[in-house]
Amino acid sequence: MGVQMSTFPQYPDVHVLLAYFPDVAKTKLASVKENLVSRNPEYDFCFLSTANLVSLQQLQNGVYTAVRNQKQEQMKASTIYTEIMLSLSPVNNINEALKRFGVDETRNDIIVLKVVQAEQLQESEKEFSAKLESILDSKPGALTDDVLYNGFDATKFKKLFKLLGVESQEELTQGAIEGALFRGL
Amino acid sequence: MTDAILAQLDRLVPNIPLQVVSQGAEALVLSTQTHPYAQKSGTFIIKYRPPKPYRHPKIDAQITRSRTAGEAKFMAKLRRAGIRAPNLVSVDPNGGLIWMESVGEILPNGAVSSLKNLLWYLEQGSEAAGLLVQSQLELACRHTGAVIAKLHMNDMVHGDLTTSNMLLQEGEAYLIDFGLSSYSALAEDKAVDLYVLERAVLSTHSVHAEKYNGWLLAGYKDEQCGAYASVGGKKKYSETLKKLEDVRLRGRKRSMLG
Ligand SMILES: Nc1ncnc2c1ncn2[C@@H]1O[C@H](COP(=O)(O)OP(=O)(O)OP(=O)(O)O)[C@@H](O)[C@H]1O
Repeated sequence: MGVQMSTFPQYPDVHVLLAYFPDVAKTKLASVKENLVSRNPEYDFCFLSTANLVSLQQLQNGVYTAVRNQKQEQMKASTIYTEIMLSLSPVNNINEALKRFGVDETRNDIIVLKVVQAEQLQESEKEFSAKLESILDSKPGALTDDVLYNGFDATKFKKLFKLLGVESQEELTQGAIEGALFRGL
Repeated sequence: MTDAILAQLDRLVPNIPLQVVSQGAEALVLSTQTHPYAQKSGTFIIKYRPPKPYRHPKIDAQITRSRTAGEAKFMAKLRRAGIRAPNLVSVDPNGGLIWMESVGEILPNGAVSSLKNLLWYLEQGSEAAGLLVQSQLELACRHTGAVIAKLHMNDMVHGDLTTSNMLLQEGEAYLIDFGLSSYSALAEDKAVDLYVLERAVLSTHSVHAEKYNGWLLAGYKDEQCGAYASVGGKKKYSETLKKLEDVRLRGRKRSMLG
């Protein structure tokens, strides 16, 4: 329980593991951030803030674009995890993408992703949840569209994606996806 | 030729069952039931601009990228302006690929519900069914005119308004194919858009062209002089119509010269 897994029809050999932790201490998030900055190899995951995520579809579009770029050897970032953040962002700047979509210790939830090859799946899945529960000292919960729509930071989100006046989850999602797809174009 | 293109496409979108819908000079259009990243059912359209062997590879890559991006952005702008067009799903600018939602329906005779096919289909039944079909024909034309009016009020020009580039779905008209689209506030450019449509109707529906063109323009006028009246619609309408007269005249002269 807790780990959600997904694949993309184009790339059946790539699996994306996802765990959502709805209630994490700010000190734990701050420590995750420090470990990421110092490139601790134990923290080889994609930690995402939910502040600028309005739906699962928006998230899936970003992960898909990053995986596709990796498959086509067209990544802009040096790791798949940074590439995911860049692929969610409407702004063509890696630091900016990390700021908007990376760990935000002012919030108390976090999404964690791991991209693995099909053959490593069994082993990774177990390790994934055990390691994260210990790092974050917290229990995972389900990530749903409602969780994201109820929790996202509407003001920041609409400013980032230039979607002032847009309200429905569906239109915010479409607008954010378009913004991310047109980054740098 | 097509086999080589399909092989390239299979490298860009492996493992996805695709059916060819149309092969144009610039792009190949395919359909699929697979959404690339979301658990969504429905039909999706892939528009693929393959590399052109007759262009220098570097220049070709730039052209493909900018046309793909341009068309995808135009679609997004339309959606934001509330103009009916397919929703964008994904873009691979370097691969020359746009992934979008499908619009339109399949008519009882098996054809897709483009304005062209719909008019043809309705014409066949019009002898027997009479007035009812007449009003369906009129509504299809008027709705199409209205969506073009909206486009032009937003200073967007389609660039290739043929009767295949509008699809009817649940009675509403959707625009597709923005490969030649652009942004312009000039009445002249909008008039050319309307003129291209007029000529297209004439070539696909010569017998009833006058009637259809009348309805299309009536739908255009009602939208600009109705819904857009408070934002200068009437003035824009009369400017565009005046230019349309000029454009028609030029067209006639050109055809007289042969
Ligand atoms: N979103 C869509 N939904 C349904 N059908 C579509 C969609 N997009 C394209 N098609 C179908 O594919 C055909 C060709 O698409 P489009 O006009 O965009 O390509 P094109 O290469 O520019 O074509 P052409 O060169 O013939 O103008 C359309 O006439 C239509 O039948």
